Amino acid sequence: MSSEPRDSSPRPDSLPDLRYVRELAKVLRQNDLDEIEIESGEHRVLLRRNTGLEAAPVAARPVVYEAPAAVPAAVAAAAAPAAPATAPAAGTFITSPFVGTFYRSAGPDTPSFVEVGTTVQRNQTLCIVEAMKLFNELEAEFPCVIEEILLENAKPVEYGAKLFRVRKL
Amino acid sequence: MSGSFEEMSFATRWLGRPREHWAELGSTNDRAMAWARAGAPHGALVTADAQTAGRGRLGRAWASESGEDLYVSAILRPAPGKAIGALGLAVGVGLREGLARWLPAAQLKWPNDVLVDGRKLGGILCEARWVGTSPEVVVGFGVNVGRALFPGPLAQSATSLRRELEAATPSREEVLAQLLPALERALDAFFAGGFAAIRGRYEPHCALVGRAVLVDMSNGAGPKEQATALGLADDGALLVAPADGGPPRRVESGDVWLAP
Repeated sequence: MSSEPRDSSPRPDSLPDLRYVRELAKVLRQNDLDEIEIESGEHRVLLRRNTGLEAAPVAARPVVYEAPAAVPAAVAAAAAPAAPATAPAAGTFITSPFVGTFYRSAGPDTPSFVEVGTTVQRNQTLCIVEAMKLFNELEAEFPCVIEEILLENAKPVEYGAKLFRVRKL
Repeated sequence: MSGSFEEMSFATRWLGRPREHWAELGSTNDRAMAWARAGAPHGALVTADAQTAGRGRLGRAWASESGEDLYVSAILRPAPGKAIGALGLAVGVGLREGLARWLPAAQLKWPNDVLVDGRKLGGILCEARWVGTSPEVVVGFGVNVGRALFPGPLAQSATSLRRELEAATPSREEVLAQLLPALERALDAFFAGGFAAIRGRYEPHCALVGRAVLVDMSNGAGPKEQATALGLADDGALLVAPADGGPPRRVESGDVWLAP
């Protein structure tokens, strides 16, 4: 929740967010697990603990990234439509202050808060990010036009993940 | 207990002042959010005798027409940078501890329903509004106190203090007078030390730990998955062992049910 620049400094989309991996490493350690494997979208992360080195810091433990190519074909195909084929265009991005699930509307039967092309006023609700029944409504800090919605409804979202590409008004 | 429900005071340091009481509201959370936007301070409280549009997760309706129950929302203004992800669990800890005087066997169903013998006694709905990095937070809860009628499916799935305690049922005033100080203590501990600081006050009372559960990891888009609940992580996530023998997983959102 520190203030993150809302610019578009690109990061390689082929690697999972390091904070995410760090969080996983914490789970591994805190729950005394030997191995965690997580598959999410195009990423598959395998963390394995070297149990012979209990006192070693987390960073020293082997962290294995498996390249997207290692993901079974069916999974990769299913995940593909959500991922832009090219690097995202430059622009202003609205990011998530929260880890959770991204919702574009307040409920399954209500319309989306915004669509591509929507002109948004300051303090207008853009989306909800939910985790553990805490519903976080994200509001626009400035008037803007939604140019791209970077995540599908009901998908997991990481802290700092880009949610919307917008044009400031 | 002196004074009416509307005018009662609380043995708290910051929670419950100022307070608004309404005969009827659509939703105490909606009113609290509007009050927060208008500048209500940390600790401000909204109560109602009846709620006409109470909501649960993702807009699900929570039956609330009796006027004998508690409908409460509090406004919180946590410091910027505080991790508040497990806030709903902290509220659950406070409610359970406040109710323990009457219902020591009450349990918490992750993330934050209050159950007695598997029936829902209370629900919690926490909402935060973010503009940039500072959240305005409303924690809302409902507790069935005097309700005697449980129409339709609620007969199996819901309960009230009256249903559990019969003649020994406390008044709404007595219940709220217990709940708010307990909630304040849980929130103070949570804001100071995160969920890790109160995990030991949640986990022993978690209705899921050690039990077979069904997990919806895809928000209704896929089948429910069978698993065994192992416990809670220090950030409040539920740890489950999938029934297919896969490695343990974290559940951070989505729904979890006890397996039939």
